[in-house]
Amino acid sequence: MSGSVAPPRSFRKANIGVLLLLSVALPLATATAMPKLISSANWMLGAEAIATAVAAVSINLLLGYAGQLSLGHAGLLGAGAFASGVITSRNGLPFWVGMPTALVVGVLVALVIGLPALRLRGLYLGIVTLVFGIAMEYSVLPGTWLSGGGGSSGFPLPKRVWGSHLLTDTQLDSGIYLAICLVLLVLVCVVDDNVVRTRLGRAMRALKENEAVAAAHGVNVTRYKLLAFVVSGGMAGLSGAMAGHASYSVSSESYTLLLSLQLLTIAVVGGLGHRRAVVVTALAFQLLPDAIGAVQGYQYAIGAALLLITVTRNPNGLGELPTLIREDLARRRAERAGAVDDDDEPALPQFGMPSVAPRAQMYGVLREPSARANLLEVSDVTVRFGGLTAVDHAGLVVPRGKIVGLIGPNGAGKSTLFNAVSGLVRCESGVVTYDGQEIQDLRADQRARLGIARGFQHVGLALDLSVFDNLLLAQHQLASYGDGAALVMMPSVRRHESELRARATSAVASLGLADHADKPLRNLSGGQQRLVEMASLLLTGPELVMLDEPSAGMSPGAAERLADRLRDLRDSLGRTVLIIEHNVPLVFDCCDLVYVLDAGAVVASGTPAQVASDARVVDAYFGAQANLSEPRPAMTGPRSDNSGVTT
Amino acid sequence: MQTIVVGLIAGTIYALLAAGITLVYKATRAVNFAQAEVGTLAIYATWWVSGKHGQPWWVGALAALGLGIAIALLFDRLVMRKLVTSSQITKTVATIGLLGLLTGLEARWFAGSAKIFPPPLTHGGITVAGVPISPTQELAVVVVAVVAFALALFLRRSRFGLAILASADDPVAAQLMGVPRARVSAVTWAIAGALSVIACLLIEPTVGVLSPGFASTLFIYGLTAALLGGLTSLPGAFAGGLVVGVAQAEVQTHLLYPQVPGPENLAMLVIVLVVLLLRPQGLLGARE
Repeated sequence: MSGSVAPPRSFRKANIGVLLLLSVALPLATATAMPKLISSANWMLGAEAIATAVAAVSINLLLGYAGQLSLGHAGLLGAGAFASGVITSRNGLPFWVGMPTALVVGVLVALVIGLPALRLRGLYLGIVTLVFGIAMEYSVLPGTWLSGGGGSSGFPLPKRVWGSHLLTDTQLDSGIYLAICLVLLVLVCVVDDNVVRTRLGRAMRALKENEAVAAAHGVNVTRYKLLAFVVSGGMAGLSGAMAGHASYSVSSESYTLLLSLQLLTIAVVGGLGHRRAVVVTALAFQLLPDAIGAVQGYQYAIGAALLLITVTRNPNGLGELPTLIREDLARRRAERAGAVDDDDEPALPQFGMPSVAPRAQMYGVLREPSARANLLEVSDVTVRFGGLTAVDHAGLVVPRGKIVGLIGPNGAGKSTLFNAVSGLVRCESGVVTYDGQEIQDLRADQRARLGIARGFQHVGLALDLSVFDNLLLAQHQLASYGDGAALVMMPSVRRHESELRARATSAVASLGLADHADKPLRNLSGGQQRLVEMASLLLTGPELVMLDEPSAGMSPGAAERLADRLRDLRDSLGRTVLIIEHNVPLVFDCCDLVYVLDAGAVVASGTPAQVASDARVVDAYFGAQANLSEPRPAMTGPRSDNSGVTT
Repeated sequence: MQTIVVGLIAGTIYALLAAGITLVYKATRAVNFAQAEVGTLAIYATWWVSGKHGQPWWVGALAALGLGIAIALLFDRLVMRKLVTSSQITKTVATIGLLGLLTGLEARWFAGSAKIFPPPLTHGGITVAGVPISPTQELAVVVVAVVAFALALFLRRSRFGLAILASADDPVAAQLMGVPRARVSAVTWAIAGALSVIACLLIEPTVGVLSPGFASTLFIYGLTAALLGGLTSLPGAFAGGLVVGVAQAEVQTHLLYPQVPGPENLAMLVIVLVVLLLRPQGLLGARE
């Protein structure tokens, strides 16, 4: 399901091989052995059901992984079917030319309508695709310019093999076509599986949960949303051609809003993210109404009712049932064995990390250090939200190889300044220079790629993803294979992935979280989540590590050890650290340089000793009357009375 | 001139749909894809009462209003209330489920023959600046003006209306201030349902017949108008409705090609894409 732990490669290959073999052998064997039992009309229904399964898989990819809605998939199916119609009917080319054309047309259409919507965050793809689907249904597909004249709009879709040789209605030919459809379904599922297993799927699932977190890990959010829609569109185009050739014709009346809704229903009821369950549900939705006469005509309404029940009662769909049943059985077996173990949570692992040497290797080698003394320079940066000036002409310098602290009262603009550096908000004015390069106009993912790793005040990881997948996601920018190569799982992709997995595995082991590797991060304690976050930041081999209140959510003991860990980052791993921290003793303990922010502006800076004695700092934290250097009588008085010690 | 007037009048009706979409979006952050479908199923009641059984139009209209509000309230009670803490996308998928349910039932019950029922008014048409206005169009303008005024008054002046707006702005804070969340949600959906029915009743005489596909194109006009208005702004929704109405009328009048039926649907797709490219916050929406 999560695909986090890959079965051995040979097993997977054998699996696909067996499926492909069965796809060809079963229909052909049935067609020759039992010609009377199965009519070619039934074969056609079978082929159409398989085409529906392909379309449902495409919705599952888009909505289940990337969390994007399409209400216009019927329009994409229609585009594919009509494209194949133009190729095979008007130009007399074989259907195996028409089908790839349909796929390409689906990809192109998805690209055009997807790009404007997917640049934005929100439900815009749902809106665009709905309008697109209606426009296709009522204006484009019924147009006579497509079919080249005539009254109603449609095409004959011959299954031309070559020249005048056609696949016809005979048992054997229908069997062959069904076999072809099955093979295509298996191939589509393999592509879908490749998405899940590579950085594509991880990026999509991360951005589905939280776009800012995905971007902070170097994921170009727009790119992966668009990629999901484009791959989905290609599958949809193919599916349209498959169904069209099955029934020898297409008509503009087939591609309705109801069809789009039904595909969505199948994916949700089957269980978003559960490919196999979605395929089975698609076949059932398509074949059962024909078998059960009573529901004839009501299938759409019943489907929609199932959708509503799924959303309110069982959001993960039918696909989760096997897991639930398995867990239930396991629990019962355990109860029968008398070993009732309610304490599911093992003891907390120790904070320990292995020695430095393997870590430096695990966390990537620093790039060739440049001679510049200052790694990060922020000058005169202003960030405004409407009328509120969150950061007001602030400037700071982070020297290479130092730990720099950023302190200040709540609402001083510390996190906003972090966002301005890491690229999550736009600076209204000012310059941010990283290693000599101006970066204020770069996107967050581009900055991450330069070597800036940024943690969040609330754990900046995808909580729905497993620990292992989070550590893989963290290496998104290190996965130096092309997204296209990943779709077909080129050998180089396989090699890179196994490297990433090895690094993630050793990181999990070093954190002492091996037992939790496949659990969603959500199920871990706050301290454990912080550990995983720290590891995920370091896995990218960043030079600048930005931490936003790393001690938040840690136990007092752990917070004490944090100073050592930060020094360790600087001294053994050679990183530069910029932290926001409310724990002032911690900051004064480990920082080389401290900046104090108040009301968006830097009010003081210097070594911890300088800052501690600065009157403005005292003012910002404790108000004008306070004086840190002389103990206040009101505080010392009673204490000296109680303890009997005079000052 | 005639095109613009016709477009503006139709636009006021789209504005009602857009207002319903906007209201629900503000309250739940979900796009209500069933906004036009609720009214469509409901005005089959008008056909049944006024068309089939010969009762006056307004009796059928009231029946439709009741049915539409009932559907919306049931949906809120049975589905949306269970999804309070769910994500935006899950809530939206739920409205898609409602859309599918209503569309599926219409397709099963009413496919085949289009239904016709008498128009609300048959005489009393006037001429404005040389443009003839039909009695139904007059009714539409008056009703929309009254509804818009009443809606604004209710939301801005009444305690409960303010509670709805506050709740849309910050549900947690509103609840802490004593706003009854469940009732706010129910009233919001009831208003959305009523707006849907009124819009469908007013546009039906222009379309002429009632068939299961009735709401599809109508809905994309409303949705485009809501998007144009910025999805979060009620005045924006009304402005968007007028723009969409005029655009639709202009395209229908001037861009007629026999090869392409319904060019106005393509115009909506173009408007949506252009808005998203150039001004995603819409005419009057807040930038996120």
